[in-house]
Amino acid sequence: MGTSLAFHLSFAVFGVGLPVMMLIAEGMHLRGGDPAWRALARRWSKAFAILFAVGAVSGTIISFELGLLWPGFSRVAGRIIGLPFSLEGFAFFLEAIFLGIYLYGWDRISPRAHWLSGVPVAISGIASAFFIVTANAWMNVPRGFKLSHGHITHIDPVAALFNPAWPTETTHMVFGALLATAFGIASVYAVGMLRGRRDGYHRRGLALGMSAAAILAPLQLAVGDLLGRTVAHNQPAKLAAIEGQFQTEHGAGLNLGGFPIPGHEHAILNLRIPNVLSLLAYDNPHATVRGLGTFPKADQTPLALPVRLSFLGMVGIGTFLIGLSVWYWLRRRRQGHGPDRLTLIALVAAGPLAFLANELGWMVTEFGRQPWVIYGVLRTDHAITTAPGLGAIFAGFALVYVVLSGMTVWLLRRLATGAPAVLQAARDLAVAA
Amino acid sequence: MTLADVLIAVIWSGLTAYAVLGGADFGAGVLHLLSPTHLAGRRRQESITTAMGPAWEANHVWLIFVLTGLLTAFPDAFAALGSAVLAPASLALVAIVVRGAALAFGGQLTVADRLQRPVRLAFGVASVSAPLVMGALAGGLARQRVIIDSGRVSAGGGAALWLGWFQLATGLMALAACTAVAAALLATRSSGRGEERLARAFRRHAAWATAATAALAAMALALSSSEAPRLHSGLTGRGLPAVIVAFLALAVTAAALRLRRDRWARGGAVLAMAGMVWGWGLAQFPRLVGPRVTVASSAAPPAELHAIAIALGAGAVLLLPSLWLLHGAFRRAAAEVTR
Ligand code: HDD
Ligand code: HEM
Ligand code: HEM
Repeated sequence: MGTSLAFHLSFAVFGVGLPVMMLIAEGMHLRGGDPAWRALARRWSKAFAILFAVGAVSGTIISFELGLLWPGFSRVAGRIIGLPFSLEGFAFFLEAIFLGIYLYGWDRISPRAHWLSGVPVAISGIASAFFIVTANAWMNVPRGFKLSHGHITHIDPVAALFNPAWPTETTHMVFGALLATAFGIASVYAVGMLRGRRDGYHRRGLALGMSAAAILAPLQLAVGDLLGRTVAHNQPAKLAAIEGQFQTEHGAGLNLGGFPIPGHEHAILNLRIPNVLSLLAYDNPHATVRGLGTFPKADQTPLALPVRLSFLGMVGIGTFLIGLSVWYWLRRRRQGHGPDRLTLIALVAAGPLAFLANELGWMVTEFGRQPWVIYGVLRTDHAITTAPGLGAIFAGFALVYVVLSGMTVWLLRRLATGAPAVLQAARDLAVAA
Repeated sequence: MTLADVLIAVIWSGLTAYAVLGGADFGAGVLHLLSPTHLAGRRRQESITTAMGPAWEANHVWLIFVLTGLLTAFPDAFAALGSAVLAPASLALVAIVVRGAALAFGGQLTVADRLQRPVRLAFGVASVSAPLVMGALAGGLARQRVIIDSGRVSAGGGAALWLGWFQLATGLMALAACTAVAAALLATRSSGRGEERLARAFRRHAAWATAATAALAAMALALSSSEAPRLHSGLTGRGLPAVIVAFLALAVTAAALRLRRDRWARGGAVLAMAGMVWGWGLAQFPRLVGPRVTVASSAAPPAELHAIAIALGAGAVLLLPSLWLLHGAFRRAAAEVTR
């Protein structure tokens, strides 16, 4: 199940990010008339068609699994937070419709109308992420109902939707998706440049990716900090696991190592900066941070080490991405004709790393919430199906995913073969003239 | 009529839309598999894939609409279903996934590609198995034997749910009905383009599929008196009008195909499919899963139902004009091609 979501997510991220990038590139063409921008947008729309189809297929798998594998979750969550799941369906429907128009509209409708037909694609992609992550935020901070003797009463779907965690969590996810797409694009054109293709097509692709990245990367850090506070206020046990905090402490320091190893009472390999954790989490350098060890065993995540490692990985990558965009733009002012080899290699790595950061972030949320599926309401072992034959089905889907990924990568590589021939021809003409 | 009744009717309409539109996609896959590989056959395959191409994602959303609608409005029914149908639903799901992937990837492949043949085969096999399994599953659920006790399946689940003679009949019936809809649709499209040879081939397929649907439907109806007595009394009671409509529509389809009235044939095939889905629905209303889980017993609380109704209304306001735009764009594109 986690596998399905992780797989879906790698495509969903494109579903959110790529339409926005397409619109920007096509908009640049509308404003300046530069054919390279249009060629970029068009190439991306082809890649997006494939990614969207795989995203849809894996999303369908998930909506089946919701019933097949997590009947307990569906019964409780369906009646309180089912709404965003249905709304996601609508958003997806709209995205599919307008994507159809957008793909068929190249050369068929006026450039302006074509650009406009892309707008609903981008909006519904973001809406999709918004709805689903709102549901997840509710799983972290459930609201909008009363629980008495195991019975759920007083359901208020609107209050469930606007739970305290939704603004920060959805924003962080949407930025994460945009950031991953931006670096993904930069990464593709950095590969091209390393192979010696330093034409305008590649330069523009890289510049667009890095412009978006430079704006988003610092914002993501800020939103991540806000999200951390949301966690501190609503899920103290998760915070302790995220931060590798074992003992309760006044004026807690920020741990820069601190790996929770099962069987050890102390985080090992630690280095701490005094008072910073209390400051970051509660706006007060002397605030108390509760340690993981003080929670009942049954409420501690059994996955404290993966949570901690994933968190460090995500923040590490985030910091690297900020540093890289600053470095890129500082160097660019000095170097006229594109970045040097070392910067390019770093840019190539940044794309996959940004995707990894998204997956790691989800590990933090999901593993950190264990043993709960709905925090404080439903435990994971009550949510999962008891039907036999799970192992075989799981293996079957793993196989499906391997084949799907293989084919997608193969097709995308076929698509990504340098600047389109039309542009090449136009340039040859220009040179001849 | 309560709000829950209205919502289940809306969800059932979504199921009908999926049976018709998604069914046409499956049927087109069956025809794709059936068409020969020599040159004329290839032309036939081409016309099938171009007819399907852009619509696939949009058609498929109807299934998701049904699933999320059930999850939100009838969470207990959704959970009960989920516990009961793990194996067949997973099988159908794999078929859907393979089909979708083959279609997405196949569109990018040229005839010369070595991968073309395996992809084509996977597409065809998946297109046959999906309606077969879903039809069998629907038949099994229609027998209303699944018993849910405090969230667990206590009887009527497992292999007995979807493997049996009655379920085989409904599975084959679904397969035949999907093929009939697809063939009638493709015949209309081909004759509209003036490709009479293609249209004749599709008409022939449609005629066979329509006859098979009628025969299998009659067989399933006969079998139901012993295999599914609850369903049988429903089909001959409240569901009778829909059953009659379905059989009449099949007769209209057969006649229209003889007279080369392709549009009538298409309408008849679609109506027959709708009649079958509604016959089933009316026959078991208000029971949703087995004899115990009913519309009223599994519905979400009123606040949630109201929110869903509002969301559905708002969604329809956004979706219907968009669909209209999409079909307008494609019709214009198609008109240009024929010119
Ligand atoms: C490009 C991706 C990316 C980057 C660079 C970051 N994050 Fe992140 N993070 C995500 C992508 C992400 C995510 C995948 O989108 C998550 C998972 C759930 C969610 O809503 O966002 C997430 C979750 C997540 C959580 C857990 C929330 C919860 O459990 O409710 C925290 C505390 C942070 N992030 C904090 C940060 C900080 C302080 C960062 C500093 C640079 C950071 N993130 C960078
Ligand atoms: C890439 C993203 C995600 C990953 C990798 C992921 C992974 C996981 C993992 C590993 C578990 C715990 C399983 C266990 O410990 O037994 C889990 C539980 C769960 N997550 Fe996620 N998750 C992701 C996103 C989401 C989202 C977006 C939602 C819903 C909105 C969600 C809903 C759930 C539910 C309902 C469970 C409980 C189901 C169960 O017990 O199997 N997850 N997830
Ligand atoms: C980053 C944002 C996204 C996340 C975390 C996410 C996660 C999920 C989850 C948990 C589900 C299952 C819930 C359900 O059944 O509704 C789901 C369903 C689905 N997702 Fe996504 N998704 C995201 C964005 C997208 C995008 C951009 C697309 C479009 C390609 C997409 C396509 C689908 C589809 C088709 C379904 C099944 C339909 C549905 O159930 O509503 N998702 N997604």
